[in-house]
Amino acid sequence: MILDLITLALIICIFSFLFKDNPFFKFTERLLVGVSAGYGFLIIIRDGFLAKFVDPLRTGDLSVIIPGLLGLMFVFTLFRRTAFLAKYPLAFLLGTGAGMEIGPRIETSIIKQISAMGSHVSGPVEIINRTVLFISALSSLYYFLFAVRKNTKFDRFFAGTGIVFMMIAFGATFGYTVMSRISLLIDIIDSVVLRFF
Amino acid sequence: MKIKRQYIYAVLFISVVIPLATGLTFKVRPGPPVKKFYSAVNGLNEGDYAAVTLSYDPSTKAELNPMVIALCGHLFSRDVKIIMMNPLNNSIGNLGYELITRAASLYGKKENDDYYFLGYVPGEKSALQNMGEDFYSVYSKTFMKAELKDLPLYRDIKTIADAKMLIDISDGNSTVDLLTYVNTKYGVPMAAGTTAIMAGEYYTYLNSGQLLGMLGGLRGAAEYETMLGVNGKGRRGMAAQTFAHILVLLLVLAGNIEYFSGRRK
Repeated sequence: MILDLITLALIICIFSFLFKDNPFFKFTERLLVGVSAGYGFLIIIRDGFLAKFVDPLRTGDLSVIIPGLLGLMFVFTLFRRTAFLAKYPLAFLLGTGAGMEIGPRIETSIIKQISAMGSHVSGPVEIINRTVLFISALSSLYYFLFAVRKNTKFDRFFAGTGIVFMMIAFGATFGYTVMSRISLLIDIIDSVVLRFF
Repeated sequence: MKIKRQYIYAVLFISVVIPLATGLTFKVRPGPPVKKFYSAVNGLNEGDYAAVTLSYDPSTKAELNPMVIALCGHLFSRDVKIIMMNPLNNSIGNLGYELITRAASLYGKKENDDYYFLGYVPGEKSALQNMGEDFYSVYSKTFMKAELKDLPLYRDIKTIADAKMLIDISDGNSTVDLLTYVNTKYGVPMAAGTTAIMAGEYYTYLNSGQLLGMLGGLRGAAEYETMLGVNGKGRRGMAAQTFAHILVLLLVLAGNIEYFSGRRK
């Protein structure tokens, strides 16, 4: 009950911003940032530093020393004279990240998407859908080819088609965004406000 | 004419409160993405393992918690074992554990036997990659610090590829990461539940067949609950959602009329 009351009070403080900016809103905003940062820090210490570095060291697993030291080198960024040392672990991160990412990402987001355009076609409706999808992808991409476009009638028409498709996409995204935000309000009213009134 | 924004908020608040307070409900008709999602989960057999990743912050729990609760109920009712974890988000641990524990108690399921909650592990993408090589190099303990090597999971699951399906419930781009590192690389079939904002982006992966099904936003949760015959938070919120949408439509319409009539003058 006390926790519910605190929740309700904090919600009212946040919602008070809708009227105008005020100290109650500012206090709650800072509280949220502080609690989130504190929680995140503790989780990283518990599940990261202790579980992945200290615990293995305690059990005699020395393989964590080099990655552990590389991780600790990030602390050097705090001091201007030694900040350059933090670039070495960063280089490892960027190198391994790029190596891991490039191949599978291209396959997932480009190759599989392109190959799916020609497969699973199962009737006239599907053929129309694929054609619209193909034209929308092509015309939207064409709109951004500023160096290639020569401002001919065809250029204007095809780039204009791209704009129409993009506007439809933005409209759909806006609709979904409204739904998302209203869902948050519904949850607050349903699970907190209506419990008290 | 200028309307003060405070009035708009007040009307919006009323339009949401009235349907919720009166318990008004509308009929929800499931769409193809949700039907596909339901069929994919229904295709799992008794004793199969389903990996469920929670990749969202508590700030989006309004949309995603109803999905998790319905999904856990669906999996438990089919006696599918659940491996729940949050490797791509460190803030959902406690909430996720609470959700699965609550769902398990309704179906009489036991922790560390019928379901496992593993929580967060640092590493993100490299952790996902390693799950495909050796699951226990990433996770050695459950969220409640039970040693995994002492549990039945250790016998049945060696890598993430041993799971029959992976379902990501997310509010960001994590589904694409999981598609990249788990689906594409290790061939684990995937489905997703996501916030309404992200749903538009994931339709491309659904249409290409990379996702077996998708739940989009609170409406997706409501449709899924309808298919399961459950009256959860998703279905309860749809009447309020409809009223609020009608209000937004009217406001957009009024704004446009005002704008164009102003231009004519």
